Amino acid sequence: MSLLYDMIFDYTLRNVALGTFLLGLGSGAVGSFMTLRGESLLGDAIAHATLPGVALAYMLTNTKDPLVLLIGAAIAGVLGIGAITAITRTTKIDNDGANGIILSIFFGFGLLLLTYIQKLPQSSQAGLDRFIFGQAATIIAKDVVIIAIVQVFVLVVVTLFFKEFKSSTFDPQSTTVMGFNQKIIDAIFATLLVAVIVVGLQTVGVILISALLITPAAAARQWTHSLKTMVITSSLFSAFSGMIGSLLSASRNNLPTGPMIVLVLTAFLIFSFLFGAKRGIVLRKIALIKRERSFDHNRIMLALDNLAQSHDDTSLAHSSKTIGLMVQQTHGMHRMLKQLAQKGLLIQSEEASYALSKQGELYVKNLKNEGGLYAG
Amino acid sequence: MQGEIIIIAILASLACVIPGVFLLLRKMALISDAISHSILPGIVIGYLIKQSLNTPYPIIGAVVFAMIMVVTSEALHRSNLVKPDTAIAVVFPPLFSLGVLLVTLLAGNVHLDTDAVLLGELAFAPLDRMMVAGYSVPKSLVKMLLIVIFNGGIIILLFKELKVSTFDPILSKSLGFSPSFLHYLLMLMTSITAVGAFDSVGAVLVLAFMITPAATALLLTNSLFVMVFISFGLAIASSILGVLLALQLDAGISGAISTVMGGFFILAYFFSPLNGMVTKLKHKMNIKHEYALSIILYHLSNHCDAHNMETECSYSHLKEQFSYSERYLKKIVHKAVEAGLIKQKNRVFHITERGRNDARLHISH
Repeated sequence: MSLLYDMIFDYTLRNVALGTFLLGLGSGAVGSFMTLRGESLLGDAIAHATLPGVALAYMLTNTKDPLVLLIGAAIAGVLGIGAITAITRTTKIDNDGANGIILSIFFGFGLLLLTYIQKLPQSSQAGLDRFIFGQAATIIAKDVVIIAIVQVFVLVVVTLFFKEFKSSTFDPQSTTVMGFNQKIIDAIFATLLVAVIVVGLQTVGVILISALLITPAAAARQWTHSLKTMVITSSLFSAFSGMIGSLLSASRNNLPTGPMIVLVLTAFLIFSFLFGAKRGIVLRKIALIKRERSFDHNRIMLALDNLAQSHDDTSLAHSSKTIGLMVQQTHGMHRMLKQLAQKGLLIQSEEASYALSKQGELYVKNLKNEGGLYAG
Repeated sequence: MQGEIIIIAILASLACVIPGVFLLLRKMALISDAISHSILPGIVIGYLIKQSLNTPYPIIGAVVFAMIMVVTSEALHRSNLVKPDTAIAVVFPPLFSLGVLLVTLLAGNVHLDTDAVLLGELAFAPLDRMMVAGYSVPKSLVKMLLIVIFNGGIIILLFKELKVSTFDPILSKSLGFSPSFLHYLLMLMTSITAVGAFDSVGAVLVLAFMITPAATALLLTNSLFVMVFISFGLAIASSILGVLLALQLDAGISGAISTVMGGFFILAYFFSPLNGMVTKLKHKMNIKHEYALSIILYHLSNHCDAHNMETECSYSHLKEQFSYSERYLKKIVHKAVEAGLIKQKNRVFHITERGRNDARLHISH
């Protein structure tokens, strides 16, 4: 509870918690669209591409004012997106390759500049370093304000253009037919992407910021088939992971924030993969078992019906062995017959002998009407 | 010392380019990025065993983690939980984070820091030496040479197989080369190369070394064989220029080499004789000029003998008729006069016999 206490009353921790929480809101929302558009790796490329912007902004203005550095980063990010689009449109290099080239060239150039700045006599590079892995502890009230403004802007735009984004994500052709300009929608989306990446840089760092977009979206996808719910869930996942991760990193000296947030996000993701309500592995497994069981049950019911008709006497009980032979299965026969008897579909006449009950006959009749084994 | 740095840089970039060419062509460029990030925890754990990067343990650790990343992301998208690109995007960040965290936690007693992870320390590589046949050589030089030989050996032996499975996996399967075997072989090559190049290049820029020369070469040729050799040439040139640039600026070497590689890519993008932007633009302009010329010739050949040719074939009429700008029309006319297709008398154009033939030729096409 002391962490909660600190979160409310400690100046640094309060900024950190609030800043990373807000950061997650917008990035989770933008990330949802990106995963669905098949652009999960674009965020990574753009994030890396912002590094030379930060370095150049510092070299040109000689200040470490976050606003100036972030504007530099944003310009580099936009250039990166433009370059990727140009390469994929005009050469035979595919999207993946274009992402990789821009990511690595820009980042390499950024590192060249950073190492150059580091060796300059009067200036120290300290402070720019944090853009690589992120340092949540350096967030001050002014940063929180910047983050808040940008995130509110992002969320408002996502809400306003929700319909357009949705349609262009799932069906670009019909978007054009309906009269929306795909290029403008893409440009708006790219602006949002650059905005959420840039404000997250000094907290999470260029290398891992894309995880803040993509991982919560992948997790949210496991819980719902509705885009609106997915965007909201993803935002919340991202926000809470950001907050928990940054608090963990701030609570022990110098744990890098980006990696801590990513590990928390991944924990959410693994949980969602396992237990997600729509796609989760465990629930899928349970559904599979249920389906298999109802399939087996139906086969037994049909077999008994078959036996009853060939004996002209529906009340005659048959041993589980006979039934087993009919459905060519012996494994778990007793258990399944008992389950059916419990449901009242079978009557157990003596040890291990069963016949259809009245209710059972009705069930078989329905089954046949509905189309055989797959019903029920 | 400087010479040794250059040699190590050349070997590192050659080693990276070999798998890079195939990764790029197989549209798997970002898998190599994911691999080079994911191997970090393996390297750290392997490093801890002997407190040195120049033992087999980091390589083993790296290969194990690379395989964890490849297998996990494939399993994720095969189980339909997420799309293939999302699968990669969610698997490598936690592995890399784990590595960074290990590095940070052990920072006190380990000669690995986050800077080394990012940048590599090519400048210090010649300091760590070993004896080979009586000569003292840097350990990383030997290591990179072995990796170049390993990768080079694989592509010399399996060039044909890699080529077929890259461009036509189904044909490759029916010919009896298992595409999935070659896939995993390539993954193995990538991870061994990534870990080898790791301490000289750094985790992030391994991608630049693998992909950029290959992509530049792809812009310059349509033949795989030629592409491989152009990539080698670019890798060598970038390494030499990059090291010199870094020494000049007193900046990080791998960043400088990546920047030079990027410079070559930009040059090829604009000036490639095959499909460069400038080449394309020139081609487009040529077609435009040719069209303008032929339409003028056709007009003149129709009107040259008519009674109203004074007006029809005048300069101002042509300008009005085809709404070309003054400058453009002058340029076209100048060209046509130079080629002897038309003649100009008192601001009226006369078509020559050659011009007439040309016009007929253009129309018949």
